[in-house]
This record gives sequence, structure tokens and C-alpha cells, in this order.
Amino acid sequence: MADKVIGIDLGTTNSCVAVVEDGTPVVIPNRGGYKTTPSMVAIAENGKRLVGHIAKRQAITNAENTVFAAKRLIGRKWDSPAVKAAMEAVPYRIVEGPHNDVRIMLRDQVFSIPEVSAYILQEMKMIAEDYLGEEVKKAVVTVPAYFNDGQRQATKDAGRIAGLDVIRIINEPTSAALAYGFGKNIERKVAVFDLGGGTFDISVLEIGNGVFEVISTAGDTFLGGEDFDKRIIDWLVFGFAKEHKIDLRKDKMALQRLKDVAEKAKCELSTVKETEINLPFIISTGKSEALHLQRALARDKLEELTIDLVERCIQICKKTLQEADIDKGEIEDVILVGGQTRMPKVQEVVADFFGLEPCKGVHPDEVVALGAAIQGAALIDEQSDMLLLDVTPHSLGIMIVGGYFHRLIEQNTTVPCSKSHVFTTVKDNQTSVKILVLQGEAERAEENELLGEFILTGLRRAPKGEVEVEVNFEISADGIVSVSAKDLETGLQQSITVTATSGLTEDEIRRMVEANKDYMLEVRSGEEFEKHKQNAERLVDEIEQLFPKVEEIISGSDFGQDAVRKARSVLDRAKSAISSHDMQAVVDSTEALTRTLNMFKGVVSKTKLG
Amino acid sequence: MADEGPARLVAEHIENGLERYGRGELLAALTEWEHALRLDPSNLRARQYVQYVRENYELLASRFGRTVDAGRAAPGLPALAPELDDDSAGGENPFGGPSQTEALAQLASGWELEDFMPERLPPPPSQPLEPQGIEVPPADEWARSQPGSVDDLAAVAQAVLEPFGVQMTPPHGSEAIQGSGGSLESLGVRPLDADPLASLEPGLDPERTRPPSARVPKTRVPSRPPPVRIAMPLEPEEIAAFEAATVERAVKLESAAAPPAQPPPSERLRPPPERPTVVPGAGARRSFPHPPSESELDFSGLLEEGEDEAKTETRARSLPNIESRPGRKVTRTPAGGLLVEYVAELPDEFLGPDEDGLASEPTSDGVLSSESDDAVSQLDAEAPTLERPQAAVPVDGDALGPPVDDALLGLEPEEAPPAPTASRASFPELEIVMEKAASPRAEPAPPFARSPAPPPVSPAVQEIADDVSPPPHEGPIITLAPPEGSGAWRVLESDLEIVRPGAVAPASIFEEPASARARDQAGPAEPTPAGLEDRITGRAATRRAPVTPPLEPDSRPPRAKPQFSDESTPLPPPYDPEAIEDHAGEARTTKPKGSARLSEPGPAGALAEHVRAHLLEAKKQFERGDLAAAALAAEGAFTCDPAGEAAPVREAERQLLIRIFETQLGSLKRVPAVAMPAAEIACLGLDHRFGFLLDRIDGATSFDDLLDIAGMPRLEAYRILESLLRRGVIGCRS
Repeated sequence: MADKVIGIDLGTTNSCVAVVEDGTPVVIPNRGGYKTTPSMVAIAENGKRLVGHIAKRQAITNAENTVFAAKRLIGRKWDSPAVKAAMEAVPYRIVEGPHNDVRIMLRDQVFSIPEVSAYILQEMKMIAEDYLGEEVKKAVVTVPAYFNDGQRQATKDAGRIAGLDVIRIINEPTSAALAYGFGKNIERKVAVFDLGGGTFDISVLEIGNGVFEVISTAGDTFLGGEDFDKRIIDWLVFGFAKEHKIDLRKDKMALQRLKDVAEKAKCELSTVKETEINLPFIISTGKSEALHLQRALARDKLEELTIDLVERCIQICKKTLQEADIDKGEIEDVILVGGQTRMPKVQEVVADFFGLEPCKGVHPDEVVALGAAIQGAALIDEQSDMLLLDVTPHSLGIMIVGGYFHRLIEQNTTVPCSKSHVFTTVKDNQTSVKILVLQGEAERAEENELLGEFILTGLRRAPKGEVEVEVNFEISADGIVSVSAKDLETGLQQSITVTATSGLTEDEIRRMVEANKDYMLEVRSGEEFEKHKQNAERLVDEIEQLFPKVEEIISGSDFGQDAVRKARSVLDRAKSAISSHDMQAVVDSTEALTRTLNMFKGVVSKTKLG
Repeated sequence: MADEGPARLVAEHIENGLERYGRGELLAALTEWEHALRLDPSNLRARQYVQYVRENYELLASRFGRTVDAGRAAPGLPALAPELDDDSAGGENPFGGPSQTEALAQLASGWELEDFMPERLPPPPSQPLEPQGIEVPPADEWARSQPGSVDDLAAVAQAVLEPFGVQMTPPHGSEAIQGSGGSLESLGVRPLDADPLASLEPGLDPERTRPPSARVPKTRVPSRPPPVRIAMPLEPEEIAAFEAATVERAVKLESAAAPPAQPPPSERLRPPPERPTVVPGAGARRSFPHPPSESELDFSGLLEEGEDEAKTETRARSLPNIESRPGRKVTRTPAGGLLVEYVAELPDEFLGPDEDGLASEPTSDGVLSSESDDAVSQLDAEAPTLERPQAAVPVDGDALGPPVDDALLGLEPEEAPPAPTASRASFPELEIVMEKAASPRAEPAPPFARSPAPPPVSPAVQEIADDVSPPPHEGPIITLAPPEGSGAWRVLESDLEIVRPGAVAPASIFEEPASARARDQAGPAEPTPAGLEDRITGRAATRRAPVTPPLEPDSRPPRAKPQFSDESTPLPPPYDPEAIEDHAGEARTTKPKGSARLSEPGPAGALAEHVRAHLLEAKKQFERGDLAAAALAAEGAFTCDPAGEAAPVREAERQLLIRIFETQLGSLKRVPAVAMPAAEIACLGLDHRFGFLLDRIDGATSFDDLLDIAGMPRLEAYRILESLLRRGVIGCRS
């Protein structure tokens, strides 16, 4: 039987894991029963690694050591504007890596971004393993459609560090559309409206004959559910300040509680009209009393507070459709993705804009992971005829005279693809040409991302414009870009293969993989020890409870004194094993404890009978 | 009752509100109910009224018409600015600024101060909100300022808000506005400090923050408070008089307090067991309540099926009427005892060599043979009771019932050291334990010698004292014992100060040598006129009155008159959480007795002394195995220092404290869940850190994880979790 492949939606704010079981994709709940896990990693005071809900629950009180939205940094260069923006927005410390990459410092330890993402992927892996009861090795991971090659490669590296073989990286809207079209034979143009915790994306896909093609994608990387939460927090803070003249935002504990309760209230208001917000002992006043925060929040009020955010989403939709030259009337279905789309007002506005009710057949929180799981299952199923087409997230081209950018492959071109263009020399007697391979949308070459460069030499000396060089771009299905330049006259050729890099060297990745394995081993053995320890402690407790009775039974006769003495010795040995964290000794003593307990129970029960 | 005050106040507010509502004074009524709600946030009635008025404000306002429009206030109240509901359409700002929505919009883009400047003030409280710890200026101050200008209003507002730690910025049209825009300053309030929260007490004592109406019974220390030990001889005649009085008193108390011997619940339907005759000197032994039957003592067949079938032999004596039967062999020893050999099946681990070097080997018939003859003799030698003449204890049938008195006292005379004659007397402020003819092992310190470790109190005495004395005692304690080689009594333990006539006051065991020298140079303490009682000076008067009801006057000996001592007799503060809590603030500002130990004088030193006393007690209780008392004492080390000034003292004992709290919490893998209704929790008077941790407890997060996400020092988190568990706010499941 082939290994199971899990689908992971590695989100900016939350992540989700799914698997196809008996032909049906299912989302796997985590240990707390939640189907999504916060994409947060923290290092506690004692050095313990916290991932998921537990990290989220201390995200404000331990803000400097809690990483969230690492997805915004993954695969980015240190000098990129996105990194600079993030440095001003996040409380944790971002430092420069050795390869012009981005690193994060938590409690004097430096972590690479793929490493941090790996911890989240590893958590998802463990969730799946606990559920499936077997080791999981392969995964399909989703990324936003606009991720460049470096970001995709970094995501792959993260999977590798986590002990996963990422067999495919797919775009989130594609994944959502996959889940939407699963089991259906549909041919239509759909819009994927993805309003997650931290980002908003709108994508238009063409689905036909089993082919899913992303026609256009755009969005706002700083618009999401957290902005909605913030409005509620501000409303609560404002109200509290009016009553008590205290700014709750200045207290970390209070702010953490406000954030938690705001998110909870927001979720509740998706199903009820009004909810009660109750935070007892929210803050101490310094006058020997603690104040309570108690307010009722109505859905109408929430909508009033956040209507501008919803409107912003619609404006982005309008702009995207215009730029892609798509009439909204062409959209035949709208797929909602992301928890924030469960807000009735969002659904209402989306329905108004597109003129049709959004599809409610798939769960917004789970749809992307489900799609990834479907894709994963299809990849290992040789009989599957599903075809998945991805598009290039950005335009590819070279730098030409004047420092301009010439596109050879346009944005959203379906991969694999190939394109050629003939260029001429720009100077008399020019014998070489430098090819700069770039990716991006800006007109100026310097504003785009440099993927690589090479030089084609040996050109014939001739007046400018006479020598022709053909440049060819080719993108494989795996996203590997090959660029070649050929002197059409002589046939001389030079080429370069651009392999995306995450900013980590192979050695670094290998070291991280090993370190993570050790960590996992430690965690697993710790869990194992804890299990045995709890069992041993339970037995010790039970025996100790029976001890007085047994001693009383035999006290008048000295009968069994040596047995009691030996029982005491068994207890001591067990306690010693527990305190010394010696798992084997604990396991051994568990057997002795069990027999001792049985004996004690027998003595007591027989005495009662007598 | 203490709970009646706030409840009555709340009821008054509600009734006043109804009265004013009936008169059409809508805003005044609303104010009253809001005050009631502030005093008791869980008051449903008040909340309903407030909610009703807010929701139907416009309708009611139109009904009450002129009353509201005119802004006429209830008698005793100044004219009120209209109270606007921030939730109402437009979310109007009660300060007269922009609407809530506008304000929030500006919040994102940076607020303009002018937009939020208050033009009118919110209605002042009609009554002092003392239960909330808020001071409100007299209503007439408001009344005086009402007809005045905006500046007057601002002045009044400043007067009102100052106790809140905020300062009104000048309103429109007045002086230049100070402060930068943004945040809450735009509301027209500006913290007096840069960070108003910085002035908060981070470690508010839960006890003190508890509203009076919700005061819950304090958890009492199960054992007596730790006395401070000093060594000091007393005059023989004083001792004699004192001894006579206290012994007499103790005997009375003992006879009154000793409960009648009750058989165990399972035995209550049986006839009371006959008291065995104990031959003096022969010793008595506690026995099984009823004679073990053969099946009870037969260990054979105890193992589960499939377990090791190895058997061993156990022996028992002291049952003269026992007879041989299959699986049991009874023989008489030359010394007159009985040797009963049993055949029992025991697990493997009982078969290996034990500490005595005894080994059991399986015999050919599968039954483990007994030890060798040498081993048997060794066994006999180890158990002297086995050699006791059979006639010493009648052991027939039911006569084997427990020797009640001895069982109560837990004495085994033939093994225990000679029990001292001990007695104990208790008074509301004075508790004395007298110990006479202590066991030879006890080595009391010589008079005036500084003893690093006080002589141990005999367990028997302690047990008697614990049994006889009424439960927890609030007053100071003295333990008296005769000094070595003399018949005179001396004080072993005391948290009183004892001034001996003409003598230098004793040095505290905590005292630094330099302090002692300085005190010596200062000369002897002034003796009190006469009698021991007068020379016992204590801090009892500085303590909180004992919560426990005092003893009946007719059974109480003359009370020791407490007398405040001077600085020359420093003693560390006794262990008394309540007293320390009450005086924690005082201790920070005044130099208490006992602070001489610390090299640095001042509040921190005094606090450190308090904390150290708690820590000592915690350590002592922990070593004794009284974990609950240890935890309580450890808690005291925190609550007596709410500002955390003596944190280094606690840090020094960090490991001990963590062990204590951890022991109370149990396995850190356990998952706590909230076990108390929210309304009850709200009445507990917790502080914000308790609130935060309570909020983290979701029934799925283990203690271990909670400690990680507590957002506060780990030790503090331990303490809070333990406190919540002890109070029953949370419960645990594995």
C-alpha cells in the first residue's frame, strides 16, 4: 500500500491538514479538537518550543519570542521591501542571515524562516500521524498564487526540515477550486474569494475538462481577520476607557485577553445576533481592586465597526477583474475561503458584488487543505486523470538596453511553457552580451528580482544591430527556469538554469533536519516516559493508599512483615526510577508495582470478606 | 455581618434609582443603578434596569421630556450632562466629542485632540464609591462648579478624576492643549504618570482585593503558627506558679477536648471492644480491630492467574488461640510465645535478597522454605515484642480490639522513648506548651545561648497538643522546657517578647551579631512591674483580632496583658498570614520589630523579614510533610509582599517554593478546568494575574503548558495556580 499523502494548507495565520481516506477527503482535527492550528511558534522562558494554539495563547505576553505570519517573510531577501515593512510591524526581532536572507532571533537563538515554518509543518505532520496511526512522509503544501520561486523553494525546504517530502507545491486558489470541483464534472469560471486571518486574495480560475487554470490573482497581504479583531479590541478599549479612564492596551495580559475574546466574539457573531463579552479581573487598579470588563456586542455593531474593511475587499476584487479584463458577469461561481468569510456581512457583500450566492458546499477554513489532500491522493494514484495546471506567478524576462525589463513569459502563463525572442547587439563590434534573468512586473529592470545572469561570448565583430542572439526561456512543470542564449549566426550557445533558493545552503538544511530529528526523538521519548511515569505514579498512589490498611491487618500478628518491607522497597525503587527519569527502570518497576498492588488488593478484599 | 454592607449599599442604590425613576429623573436613576452595578457587577436587577434605560433611552427621554432636557439632577446631585449611549446610533461620545465610529476611524489614522475634547462632563457619582476604593469629592464641590464656565467644569473634572490617576486636559477654548494626540489622551484624559499601569501594584493580595460582600472564609493553617524560638531561663518560683496554672488548665482542656473513643465506622454496629489490660512496663500494642480470621491472614492464592507461583513463608506470633490448619503451622517457642508459620504466595520481588540478607529459595515441593535458623533467630531478635510473656496481653477473641487510649495517642511504649508529661494551655492571645522531663535525646540550649536549631518538641507532646488544643490559634505561642541539668523552666518557643527582670533581652536567633551588640550597649530593657504575665510583652495587640471565637470566660486563665515592647527586643514576625496581610502596608512604611536582623534598615528589610518568616515556616512544614500548611505559608510569602519588593528573598528559596507548589498541583501533566461558576469567581476578589491565568484555563491545557504561557514569572504562576486549586476555583483531571 502506498504511503498516505497529506495536504497542508500552510496559512499566514492558521494551518490545516487533510487526507483522503477511502476516496473521501477529510480534515484532521488537532489534539484540542480544532480543525485549524494557528501558524505560530514561540520559545518559552524555559526554552520549550511552543507551536499552534499554545503559542497563540501567549502571543502578546511573550510577544518578543513569538513568531507569527512567518509566511510573509519566507523566501524573502533581507533587503526586500516586504521585510522592511515586516520589521516595523512585528514585535519579534528580525535579523539578517548569512546569505542575504532573513532570520529571526528568539531568546538569543537564531532561526531561519524555513525552520520556523518547519515547526508548523511538523505540528501538522504529528497531528496527521496521531490521527492515522502511522508515519507520514509525503505532503502537498499550498502557497499563495503570487509566491515566487524562492518562496516556493523555501516552503519546500521547510517541509524537508520537518521530515516531509513535499511532492508538490500548489497555489491556494487552485487547491480551493480542486476541493470545490471534487467529484463534479464542471466547466466554468470561478472566483476564489480568500479572506484569511492576515491576507486577502482574489483569484479567478477557469475549470474545464479536469483542468484548473488560474487566470488571474491579486490581493492585499495586510488585510485579514485580525484587522476585524482589532476593531473589536478598539471598541472594547474605548468603552472601558470611557468608564474607567484606563487604557487596557498598555497591559499585555489585558491585551492578550482582549484579543482572545475579540476573536471569539467575532466567530460567535457569525451565528448569533448578539454575544456577551465578559472579562473578569481584566486589570488591577492599584487600589486593591480589579475591574471587570463586561459588554454585549451585537452583530450590527460589529458590521458597523468593520464595514470599511469589507468594502476594501470588494474594491480589490473590482480592480483585479478590471486588470484581468474579466467581466464579473462571467463568474459563474464564487468560492469562499478563509475563516473571515463566515461573517454574514462578508457573504452578503460578496453576493451583492458578484450577483450570485457564494458557494457554501465547502468549508472556508478547510477547503484549501482538502484540495491539497485531493491533489496529493491524485499524485500517487496512477489511475487518476486529473490534470493540474499552475501558472507563473510573475513575469519572466531579461534586462535590455537602457536598463529596461523585457518580458518573455508573461505573468499567469500556464506552466510548463517555453518562449523565445531574438535580440541584437547595441554597440558596434560588440563581442559579448550579458544576460540578466529577471522576474517581476516593473518596467525598470532594477526593480525586479534578479534570478541569475550569464555571459554569451564569441560574437562576431559587426556593426550594432547586425548580430542576432536568440534568448529562450523554459519553465518546467516543477517550476525550474532554464534560460539559454544562442548566437544565431555561429550557433554558439550559453545557458543557465535558475534553481530557486530559500536562502539556506544544503549543509544548513541538513543540519536543521538532523537537529529536528533529535528534537522529535526527544519529544516522543518524553511523551513515552510521561505515559509510563503516570502509570507508575498511579500504581504507587494506589499502593500507598492501601498500605495503612495492609499494615493494620498484619500489625497484630507480625504476619507478612517482610512482605510489607519488600513492598516498601518496591515503592522506593519505583519512586527513585521516576525521579531519575530512567524510562527502563520505570517500566521495570511498573511490573513489580502491578503485582504488589494485586497482592495488596487481595489481602484487603479477603480481609473484608472475612 | 461583613457581607451586609455592600449588599445593603447596592440595594439602596437600586431603590434610590427606582425612586428617582418614578419621579422622572431618568439620568439620576441611571446613575444610581450604574453605581449599584459597579458595586456588584453580577447584580441582575441593576443590570436589567441599566440595560432597559439605555435601550429605551430616547423613548423614555421623550416620555420624561422636560426633566431630561433640563438636565435637572436629583437632590444632592449636580446638574448632569446627558449620558449618551456609545452603542446608540452614531455611537455618540459622552464627552461630547465625535461618535464612536468616527473615533475609531480616527483611531486608525491618528486622533485629533480637538475632536475629543470634553465639552461637558460625565455625571459624578452620587455617593462615595468606597467599596471600590475610589474617592469622590463631595457633591457640593460639584454643585458649586456647575453653573460655572468650561474652565470650572474642567477644574471639577480634575478633582473628580485625580483619584483615578487621570488628569483632564483643558477643554475647548481654554488654555493651550497639552499632550500629543492619539490614543486615549484624545478623550480628554491624560494619565498623571506616563504609564498609569506602572503605578499599579503587580501583586495585589487576593484577600485584600476581595469585596467585603464576597468575603470567603480564609483557609486556616492546619498546624499552629511557627513560634520564634528563644532561650531564656525563668525564676523557679515563677515557673512553678506558671506551671501549676497551665498544667491544671491543660488537664481540664484535655479532659474536655478529648473525644470519646469511637470505633471505626465499620465497627459501630458491633459491641464496643473491651479495653485490654495493659501491664505496666510490659507495653501495649495496637492491634487489628477484630482478630484476623484465617482467611484474612492467609496469603495463599492472592496472585492473579498466570503470575509467578513462587511461595514464601511468613510468620506471625502473638495469637495464642490460633491453631494449626492446612497452610498454617502453630508451634510454641521456649520463651512462651507462639510461632505461626504461614504459606503464602508472593511475587518475585519479595523473593530476592532483602536488606536483612534473608533469602528464600524454592524447595523441592514448590513451597519456599523459611529462613535459616540463624535468620529466624535474627528475626526474633529484631522483634523484641515477640518475646514478651504471653500473659502480658490477654489476646483472646474480641479482647484484641484497639487499646483505645494508646491508639488515640499513637503510643507504643515499648518502642517509643519515654513519653514526657506534657500539657498545653491555650488563651486567645497566649498559648503555652509546657514540656517537662524531655527525653534524654532532647538537648535544650543553655540559657542565653543562641541556638541554631531549637530543641525538638517531642512528637508525643506535639500530638497531645494538637489533639487537645482548640483549632488554629491566633495568638502568640510560648513553649517552655527546663534547661538541661536544672529543674527550672525556660522558654523554648515564643513569638512574644519576654523581658526578664534586670536581664538583657534575649537575642533573637535571627539577629545579626552586630545588632545584638548594639542592643547590648543600649542597656537592659526596662523590667515590667511584677509577675511573669506582666513581663510577657507581645505583638498580639498589633495583630488582627483572632477570628476564632475566644474560649469561654469561665474556663480561661487570666489573660496575659500584652504590652508593647521597645526596640530592644527584636523578634522576627511570627507566622500569621492574616496579621501579616493586614500589616503588610504598614510594614513597608514603618520599621517593625525584628528588622534588626537585616543589615539594611527600611521597608525592604522589614518586608524581607516577613517573607523570610513565611519561608521558614513553609520549609518547616514541608519537611514535616504537612504540604497544605507549607503551601499556605509559601503563599503568605507572596501575599505579604504584594509589591514584590522582597522578591530576591523568595528567589533564594525558589526551588523550595516550586517544590511546595508543584507537590500541591500534582503532576504537571494534569489538565485543570474551571470548577466554579463565573458569578462566584467574580466575587472572589482576585487580581488581574489570577484573571489572566483563569482565562488560559480551558480544560485542555495542562499545568505544564499553563506555566509556559502564563506571561509572568514561573514562580508566580505556580503560586497562582496552586492558590486557584486550593480555593476550589479550578479542579483537575488527569
